[in-house]
Amino acid sequence: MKTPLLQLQQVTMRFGGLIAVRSLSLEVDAGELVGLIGPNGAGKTTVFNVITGIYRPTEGDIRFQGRSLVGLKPHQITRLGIARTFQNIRLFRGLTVLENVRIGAFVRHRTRLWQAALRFKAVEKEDAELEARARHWLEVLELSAVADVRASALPYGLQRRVEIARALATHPQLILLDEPAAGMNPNESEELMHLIRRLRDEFGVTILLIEHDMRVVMGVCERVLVLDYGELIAEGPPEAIRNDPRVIEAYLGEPV
Amino acid sequence: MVRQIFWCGVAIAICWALDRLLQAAVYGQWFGWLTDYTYRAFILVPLLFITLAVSLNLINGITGQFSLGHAGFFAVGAYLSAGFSVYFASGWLAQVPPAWQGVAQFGLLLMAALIGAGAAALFGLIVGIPTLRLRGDYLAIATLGFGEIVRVLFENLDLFGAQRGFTGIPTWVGFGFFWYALLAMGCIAVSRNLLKSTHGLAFLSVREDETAAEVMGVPTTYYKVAAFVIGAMFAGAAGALLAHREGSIYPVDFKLDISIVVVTMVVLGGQGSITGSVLAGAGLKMLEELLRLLPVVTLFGREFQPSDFRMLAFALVLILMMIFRPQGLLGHRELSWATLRRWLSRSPKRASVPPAETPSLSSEGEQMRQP
Ligand SMILES: Nc1ncnc2c1ncn2[C@@H]1O[C@H](COP(=O)(O)OP(=O)(O)OP(=O)(O)O)[C@@H](O)[C@H]1O
Ligand SMILES: [Mg+2]
Repeated sequence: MKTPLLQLQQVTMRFGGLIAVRSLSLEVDAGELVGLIGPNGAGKTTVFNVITGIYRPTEGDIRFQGRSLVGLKPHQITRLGIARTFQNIRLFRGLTVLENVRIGAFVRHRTRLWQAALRFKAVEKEDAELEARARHWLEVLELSAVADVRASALPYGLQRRVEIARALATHPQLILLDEPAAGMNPNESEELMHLIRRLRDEFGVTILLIEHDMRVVMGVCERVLVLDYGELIAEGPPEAIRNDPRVIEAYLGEPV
Repeated sequence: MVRQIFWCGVAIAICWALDRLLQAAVYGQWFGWLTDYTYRAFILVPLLFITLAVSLNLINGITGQFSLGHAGFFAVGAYLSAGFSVYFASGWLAQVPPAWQGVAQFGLLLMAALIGAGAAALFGLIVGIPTLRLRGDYLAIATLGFGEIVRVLFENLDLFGAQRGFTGIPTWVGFGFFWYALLAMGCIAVSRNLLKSTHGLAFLSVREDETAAEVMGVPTTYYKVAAFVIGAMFAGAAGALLAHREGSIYPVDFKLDISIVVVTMVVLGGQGSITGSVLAGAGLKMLEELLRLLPVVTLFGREFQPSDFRMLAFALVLILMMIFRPQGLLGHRELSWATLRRWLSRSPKRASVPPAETPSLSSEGEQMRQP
């Protein structure tokens, strides 16, 4: 039997008396493009936070390629191949777009800090490599023109794209996108859908995305998971989810 | 490796040559104003504070860990290196034949400086680890506490002269310019190398957004502690040089004032800007010296020494900066030949032309910043 790329087993996340995620089990296979939806406060972002090690789950286990992630620090998890973006954009605002993405690429560094302090040849070589990798992702995301602009000076839609570029530069196998289309106009979200498909098809990145824009979810996802009050209430292909009475009641309202 | 050794050689040669030249100028009384006193006040002390400011910039400015404990690292370096020289190295030197005294002194001073730097680095590690959980004001208070504890400790240890001060330290640094300048150059070079490399971006990412940095794969704990260790190391070495130049050190030399002054320098220069720290470090010390030239004034029936106005002047400088240039003299930028050239060529005519990079984007950005 093939092990799934990502596996959550009975994961519970409690904040004091509040149960944000309740005994959640889910699997994502390599190469899948999965959507995670649900009403506000359903616990979607919290799921991302426990996967990436920002919170340690109160109960349950999280496995990535069969290896448990519980107890690992976020940077160790990133190193294993999981990257993410944030719902409320968290770019390094004072740094340029290129610098932001170079920090993403830094996860693959091999030189030591003391070598950098003495500017060894190996460091110079590595800097050039990491910068080339960062520029590659800027190219892919059509951000090359703004490479030297401060991240905070960019419009919202571009900032979201920089976040994706930064996450991709860590060379992930799985990328978690938290509401990538939020704040985008229809044109921009159309482009985003193209990009998401391309990431999977061209670069082989597995994608799990949270999104409120149903056009995006239904348009790109092959499988959708629905969360309500921290519990998985439905799971299946977009058409089935769209017509699932429980989902309509809890989240979608009118059938879309 | 070859390159590093080459540049070390160049730095040593430059410092040595300038040292000789200055000695000739000071002792030969080439210029009326260049006396032993003005040399110390306007060259030596500023050099020391350049080292302190640039090393603190690594902690406060680049990594964003607000530390008020730099005087503590400075003190540890000074006292422990002096302890080594007084209690061990002097004895060893006495057994060296006269012909080898010079070489032995040089070697022992180097050892003392390394001990000072190493001890301070160790304290940096000790302070760095528990303060990892602290941010902002809490970190400032914890590091402030550390600095004061160190000072009070030395104030009460008889081994180090307690309140009487630690005297009789061999003055192996001699004239001083060579060592002081070499340390400042080393500190600047290391900072610059770090900032130039992608490792430097890792430090900066901690300052910008610690959580995002961690999630992007930066081991933030490691970089925070590393900033403390490297910064402390240079402050410790500076302390060692001070001790072996002056021959005596006193607990008051390491009061909280020193930490505050060095923080002021970093903030004034622009958080994270190495050249800013250099300019502000040297500039504030010179300003302080110039204030001494003011006459003694009597206010409200009390006599005020010019040096009493030091803190007042610093506060004034800071307030003015907050009003007119909150990002510091240089902001996050560095002063380089390229920037100088850009400033000089910025004629009024050209200034009206918008920058080359996608102007529509940046104007849109201005609107978007406050949605
Ligand atoms: N650090 C925290 N401490 C306490 N409560 C938290 C914390 N993080 C999340 N919560 C709570 O957990 C619940 C789920 O939050 P979460 O952010 O995961 O929702 P979400 O599904 O992402 O919602 P949205 O669609 O609004 O982004 C909310 O009630 C929230 O207030
Ligand atoms: Mg959310």
